[in-house]
Amino acid sequence: MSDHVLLEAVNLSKEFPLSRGKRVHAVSDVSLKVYEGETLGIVGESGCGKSTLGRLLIRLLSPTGGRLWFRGEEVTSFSDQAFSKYRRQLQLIFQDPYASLDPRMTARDIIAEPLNAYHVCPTKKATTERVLELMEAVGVPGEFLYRYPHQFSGGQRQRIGIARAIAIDPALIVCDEPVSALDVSVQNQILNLLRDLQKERGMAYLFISHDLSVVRHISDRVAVMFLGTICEIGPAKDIFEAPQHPYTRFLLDAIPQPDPRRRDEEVPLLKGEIPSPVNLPEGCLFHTRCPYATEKCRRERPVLRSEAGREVACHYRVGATLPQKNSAPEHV
Amino acid sequence: MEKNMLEIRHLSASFFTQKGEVKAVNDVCIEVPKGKIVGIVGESGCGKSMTVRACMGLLKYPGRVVGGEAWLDGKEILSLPEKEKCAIRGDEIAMVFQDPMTSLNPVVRVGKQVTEALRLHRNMPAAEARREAVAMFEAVGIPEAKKRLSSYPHQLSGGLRQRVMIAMAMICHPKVLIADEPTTALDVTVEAQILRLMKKLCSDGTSVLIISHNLGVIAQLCDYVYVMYAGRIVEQADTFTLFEEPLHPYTRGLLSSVSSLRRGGDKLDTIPGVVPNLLHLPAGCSFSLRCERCEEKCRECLPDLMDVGDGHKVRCHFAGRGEKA
Ligand SMILES: Nc1ncnc2c1ncn2[C@@H]1O[C@H](COP(=O)(O)OP(=O)(O)O)[C@@H](O)[C@H]1O
Ligand SMILES: Nc1ncnc2c1ncn2[C@@H]1O[C@H](COP(=O)(O)OP(=O)(O)O)[C@@H](O)[C@H]1O
Ligand SMILES: [Mg+2]
Ligand SMILES: [Mg+2]
Repeated sequence: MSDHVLLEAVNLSKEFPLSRGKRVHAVSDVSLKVYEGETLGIVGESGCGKSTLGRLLIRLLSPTGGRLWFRGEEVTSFSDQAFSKYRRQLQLIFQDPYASLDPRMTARDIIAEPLNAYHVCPTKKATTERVLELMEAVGVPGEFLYRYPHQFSGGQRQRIGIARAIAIDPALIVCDEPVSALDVSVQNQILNLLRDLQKERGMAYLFISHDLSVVRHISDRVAVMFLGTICEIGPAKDIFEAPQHPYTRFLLDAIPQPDPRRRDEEVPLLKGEIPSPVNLPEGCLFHTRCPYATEKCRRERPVLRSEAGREVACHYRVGATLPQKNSAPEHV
Repeated sequence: MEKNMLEIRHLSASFFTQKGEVKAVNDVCIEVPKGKIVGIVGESGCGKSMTVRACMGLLKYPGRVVGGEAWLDGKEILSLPEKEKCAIRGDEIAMVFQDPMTSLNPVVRVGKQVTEALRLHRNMPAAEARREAVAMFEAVGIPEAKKRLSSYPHQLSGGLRQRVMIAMAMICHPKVLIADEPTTALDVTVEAQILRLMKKLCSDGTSVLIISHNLGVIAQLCDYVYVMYAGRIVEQADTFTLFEEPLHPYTRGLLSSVSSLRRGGDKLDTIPGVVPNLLHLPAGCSFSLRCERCEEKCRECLPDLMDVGDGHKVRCHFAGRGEKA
């Protein structure tokens, strides 16, 4: 991880139009930086805007508001043509490699696709050799070169998706729930692989997941999202050991712990469910579920405020004052 | 000892495909004592869902039960004619699925779907069934219960739909509730609410068989746990023993995968390799291909499910020696 900013977003927003003039506020006013070589984790419950944010940041979606910089150059209003010099620096891997890999293509052709698109190798033979190197790097045996996606296990398919993403040495890979469809033992294999590749090659990850344990393990910094906004962002250790936004605290406490000795701990549960992103609540977006909400929270929307390396969008930083449950012991 | 409300005995079920027989459930025995929560845990494809589907008589072609029995409160149910099975399902034994949308009818109001079981099994008049449904909606924590009866499934959030499913399953006060990954599709804050609800149901006397791949859910909820691998039970024990003194290398691998993720550090523990193909199971122990301790005899002969004391059983040649890897 370095101090060099790879990517910066300021007040990035994305609204999707619905019928009758209604709009889904998928991402609202998100400001963040991604540094070269770091892993920034994005957590939050389904529908909170993680995937949309990931796609906005690498310009697979265009924002309806806000600005975006890439290595110091503002690219917000770049045409696709103008942006193409950055395109190959930004890759994406998906939750379900099965849906993202063309079923009629062999592993070789899938991995060779970006190599061909950017004319990386002079000959077909050189391309195949490069593909074999990449397969070795992600732990898929070279003899599977001409197999089709359905002939691989879920974990192997994810490895092939990763090989394709690293083929042209990107600066950033957006990993959108890359292990959510995998069993825990296989999930760990992929997490180890992603970490090793980052050490060798130094690219940054934007690692999106709804699984807090996974995000905690892989991330240097973490952003917690709720209803299209960031409620808290900071170093992973701080976020998990001492959450300051009440939502982060509830999210952590809700994780069922794989330890039967901790089953009688009664934790306060969040009531109700996430409000609709079509009709956003007034004031703080979290106030309808927050047991600590005051009149001020119902009226005034808090913005991310920075304090000691951590940015929190809560008028009171209530999380910091609550007794801890799941956040304390592990991970030293 | 509490008596068993559900007893699955040597159940085997297979899919007869063009490529051959897929042995999805292989000689599985499971007991659910009265008022207890029993869990089945294992990775995807290991046969958890097929075990309970077989036992409910819900296997679809080309799947078929090839042997075994299922006793519900002292009555064998697999050999019953289809009509009698129908009479029992939803009444004495009920099921909740991972995705409520696949089991709720999208074009029928949820109130009607919930009261249907009462009208069918109890012959209850409409007004009375409606009162029962409102009470059950309230019991499972559905706000504005009366109003909700007239909602269609798509008008409800995922968490509310799962509560409707549970209300539907509980409406006839079944002796046994089977829940197949009831929280897997839900967000973690909603999952926590549903887990608390399941605990409450059980403290009211319902016997529950819950399937999950999530060891956290199992640890929080279950009294007793069965670990499945490639269609077979490989270990079973009370929850504390299973988490604290696991004996099967597969159980240990699963637990250390989870705990290394929580502990942090550079390298996460993994189980090498992948689950074997159920079409071509190895002759010996099904875990032998991935097991660090694998020896000659593991490849050649299938270990028995051996009792090592206090209801702890393990299917491993090395288990009886009290060794720890
Ligand atoms: N193409 C689209 N059209 C309309 N709404 C969308 C579209 N993509 C996403 N949304 C909505 O935007 C919100 C955020 O979605 P998403 O970014 O996929 O969330 P997450 O990845 O956190 O689950 C959701 O309410 C979703 O329904
Ligand atoms: N229609 C089918 N045809 C052939 N095999 C099937 C069919 N349905 C399920 N299976 C097999 O049954 C096995 C067990 O499936 P299942 O009980 O659903 O696993 P789990 O619930 O543990 O994830 C799977 O490995 C799958 O290969
Ligand atoms: Mg998403
Ligand atoms: Mg299943």
